[in-house]
Amino acid sequence: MGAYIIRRILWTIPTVLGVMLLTFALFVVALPDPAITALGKHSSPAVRKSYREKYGLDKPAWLDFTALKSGQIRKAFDSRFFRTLTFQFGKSSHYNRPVSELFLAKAPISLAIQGPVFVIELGLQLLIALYISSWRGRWPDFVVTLLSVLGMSIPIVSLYLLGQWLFGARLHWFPIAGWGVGFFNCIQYAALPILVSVFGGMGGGTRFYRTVVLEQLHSDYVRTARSKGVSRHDALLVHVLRNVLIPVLTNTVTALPGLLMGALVLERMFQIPGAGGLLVEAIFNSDSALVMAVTYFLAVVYCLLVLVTDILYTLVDPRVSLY
Amino acid sequence: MDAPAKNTALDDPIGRSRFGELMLRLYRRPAAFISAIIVALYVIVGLLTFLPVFDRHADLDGSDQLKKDGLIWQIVGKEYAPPSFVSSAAAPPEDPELPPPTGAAASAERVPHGGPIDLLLGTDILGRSVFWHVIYGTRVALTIAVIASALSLTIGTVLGVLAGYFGGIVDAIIIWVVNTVSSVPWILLTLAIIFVLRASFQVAKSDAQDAPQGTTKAAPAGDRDLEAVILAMGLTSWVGLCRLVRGEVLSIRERDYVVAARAMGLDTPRILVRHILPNITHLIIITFSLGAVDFVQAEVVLTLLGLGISAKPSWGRMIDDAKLELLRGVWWQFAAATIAIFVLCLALNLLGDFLRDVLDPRLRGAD
Amino acid sequence: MPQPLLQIDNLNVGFDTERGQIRPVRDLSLSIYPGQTDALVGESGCGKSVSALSILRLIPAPPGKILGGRILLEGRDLLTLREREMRRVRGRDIAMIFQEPMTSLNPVFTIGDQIAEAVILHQHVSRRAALQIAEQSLADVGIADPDRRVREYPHQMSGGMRQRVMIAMALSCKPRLLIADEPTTALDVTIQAQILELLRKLQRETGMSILLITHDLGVVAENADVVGVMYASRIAEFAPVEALFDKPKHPYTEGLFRSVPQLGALAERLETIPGSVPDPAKFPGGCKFHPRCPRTRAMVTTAGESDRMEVVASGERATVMKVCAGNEPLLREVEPVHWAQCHFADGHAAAAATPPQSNHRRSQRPEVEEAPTLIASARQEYRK
Repeated sequence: MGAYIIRRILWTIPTVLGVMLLTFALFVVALPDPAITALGKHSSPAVRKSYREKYGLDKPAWLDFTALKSGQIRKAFDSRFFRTLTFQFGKSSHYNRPVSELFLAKAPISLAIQGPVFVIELGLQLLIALYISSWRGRWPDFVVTLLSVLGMSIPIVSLYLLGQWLFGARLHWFPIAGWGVGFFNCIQYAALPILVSVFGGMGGGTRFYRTVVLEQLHSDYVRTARSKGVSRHDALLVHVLRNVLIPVLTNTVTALPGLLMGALVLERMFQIPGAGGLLVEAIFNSDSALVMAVTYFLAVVYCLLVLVTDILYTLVDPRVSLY
Repeated sequence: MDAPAKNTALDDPIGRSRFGELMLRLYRRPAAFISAIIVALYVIVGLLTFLPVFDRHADLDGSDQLKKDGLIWQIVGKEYAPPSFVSSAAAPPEDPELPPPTGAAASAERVPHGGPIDLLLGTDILGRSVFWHVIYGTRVALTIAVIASALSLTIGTVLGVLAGYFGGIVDAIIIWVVNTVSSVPWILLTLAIIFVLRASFQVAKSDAQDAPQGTTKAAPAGDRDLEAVILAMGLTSWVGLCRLVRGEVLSIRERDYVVAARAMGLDTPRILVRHILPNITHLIIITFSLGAVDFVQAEVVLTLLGLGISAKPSWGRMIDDAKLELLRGVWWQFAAATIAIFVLCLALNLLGDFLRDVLDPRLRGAD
Repeated sequence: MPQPLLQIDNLNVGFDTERGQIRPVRDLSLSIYPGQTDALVGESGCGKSVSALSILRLIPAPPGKILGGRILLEGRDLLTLREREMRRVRGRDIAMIFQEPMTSLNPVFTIGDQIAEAVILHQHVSRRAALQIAEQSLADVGIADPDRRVREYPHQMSGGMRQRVMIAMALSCKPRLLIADEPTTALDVTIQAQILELLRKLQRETGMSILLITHDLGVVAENADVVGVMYASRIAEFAPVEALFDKPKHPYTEGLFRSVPQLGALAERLETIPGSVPDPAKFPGGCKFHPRCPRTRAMVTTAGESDRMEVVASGERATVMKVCAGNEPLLREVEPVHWAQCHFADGHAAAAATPPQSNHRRSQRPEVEEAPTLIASARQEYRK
């Protein structure tokens, strides 16, 4: 098992490097010179030069070869590639503040929305899937399956809008949009986004887990357990659930990017000052340093999350340690 | 879980009419059958908008530029007229708290009156027909779905086949690329690509403006939006299919008939086309039908974020516009676009499920 | 005569399907005595596995449903028990092992935990004590290093070992009846013999009864005391093992014997029963075996015109006895302690329709080599 974990960690290194190369290819190689984009074509070379110096764009892209030749190893690696690789992001051209500072200030707000969304959604999906498994082929099963497919087909934005209109504008249960100050005030504002987000994301997962639970429920080991005298309830919650956790882990990893999309859309629609809004604004403002930093950072975080789930497999599935 | 039965030489599908059997099964499953008809209707409507009869350029009072931008739907009535099947009494009262709709003044002088079809689903903030917006939105949605799918399916299939068939270093490199691309959450990668494309287009545009008049013609902004969205989606969504194809090809290449074909000295391209490709078409079909749902829905999301379609009639724009209209009580534009997307996606989902069940039962669980 | 341990009276099971209700078990009566091995033999789909699962009330419901009958365990009707009481019967009084040792164990729990689960449920001991009992039962079924094996997972074991684990699990609470549903079908031949030998040994030691469900006549010949042959959801013939192999009364049983390969008879062509097992959704009228039955076709030659009729069986025209196509025969005691369900079994017309039961024990436990001989003698007998 230890060998598996070590191998898995080593596999992450080329992936992170690949992510870096991809980000770099997009934002340094393919992207037109930010100095020209920001200052216009007819700006004087001197102004552009000072702009580049200000945002660290004057550094060599990959390696400082002249420095390398003269033996200044430290300086040679002071390139934009290695700076980004080591999370030394530059300054945002729009806010004129370090990118990491901006991002770290906004990220907790996004997490405060998406964290609960993730937990509630997963819990509800599993609960519903487990519950309706004993109703297979009867009306609750039918209703849940139908609602799942309907939910997967309705545009998520429309669902958010409907929720905003119904609970905010019509029923006045929650504020329509905005963000508060202080914990309790923020909960008020966060409730509706969390509610509509959970509701909107339920469909696909519920349907998937329903299939998985049913498949496990009809497997031979459940029959064995029942023949030992285990109750239907325990067979479901002990035997089936433990086996279902394996596909749950897999599905969770693929569902994480969906949370990111949720953050982007929710924060725009509900005017929440989170990291998602920061990213969208940065794109509007042609703030390449900020966009690149957020892209790279989140991709690396995602790589690490994938790594963590792969390691969690060893806890959930004893067969994993074999390969 | 039982391992899938080992396929033998008998399984070579060449000469088996899968299409006929598929049609028969489709006919036997009403939900899938109706879905197929609905999807076909959408496609027909989308194609019809290219016909001159439906081309409403002639009715436009806008400039050439507007025509080029695809602002093809005309002003047909007063602003925010409810659908014609809703009695005017049921129309929402003006909300005094909200400012009157902008653009009202612009069109107030002459209120053109469209036919009953134009007013069927009411009008928007400028008095333009919601009905025609939905119809032309179909064209954009299908364009995105088809071209982005074509791009993504081609990349996915080619890389998957290469990786699975040749193995070794080719496989290792492709797997690395796949892992890398799938490590960046797709919405992030899509946004990043759109960001880069927009910046490039902007530079190209300013170059064009600098150029002497008449020598170069800048592409209208609307087309470039669409290009950026399609390119970004196509370049980010191929990894799933690539993995599926690679796995399938890995198993196919060990089957007896492929080994036999190699032993007989058939050259590689011929083996790929005659033996490998027919065996992965089902994966492509399934991915296409289920992937189209994602593309249609993603257009709405991107447009809402302000990074999607800005100058063409699209469902995403209708929903984006509805953000404030809904609070004003103007529900028809929102409802029309939502229902248009919902019905198409539902049909595609059901059809995709059906295709998956029939063509590759292994892809789904025990159900 | 002692009381039977388990007595099944007129058990009927139905499954609701899209094409209407099917009846995988019809009018099943069976008695199992303490220490006895009863075998239920038949082709797949004849209802033997559903019968076994019905005893534990584990048929999937819906769509399955027990339509009627009684299942008496020492006089207590299991079908009237509440689910809670039934759970105490499962595993403690009646245990079961299954055909597929590969999938019948939960892959994510250790062997020890899975055995201990039953022990904790029924003997109310601590986990530590339960694990010790688990270790002991692994040793009982002949698994080496039980102290190491209890901590292992199913995927770390071979098929034969997993079936031993299944047996250890089933026997950990010392049940009085073990239902073995095709316990050796999925295993290699050498392992099959070991597992059956183990079951016989454990039966001698514990005195439990075994309901052995199989399609393998060799397994029946080696292990069973009494045998019920099932065809189309019913018992077609029931007799002590020697009587059944000596003098089969039902044409289906005869057909089964003729389709078994015989040592030393290489040149001989194996006979098969023509046609196939009827689909439970489309059972024929009358005797369910008549479309395939050689006996009714033979009887026709001597019968009068009015007793014959034309039928279409598996796409071909055939002449059969009218009574076979019209009436389903009852299971009758055609000879002392030998029941058959055939109009033309000797003595069927005059016999009484009693529920089959017999506390018979086979006289000697034949060694493995003797089984083919027993079948061979049955074949000889038939040819005479």
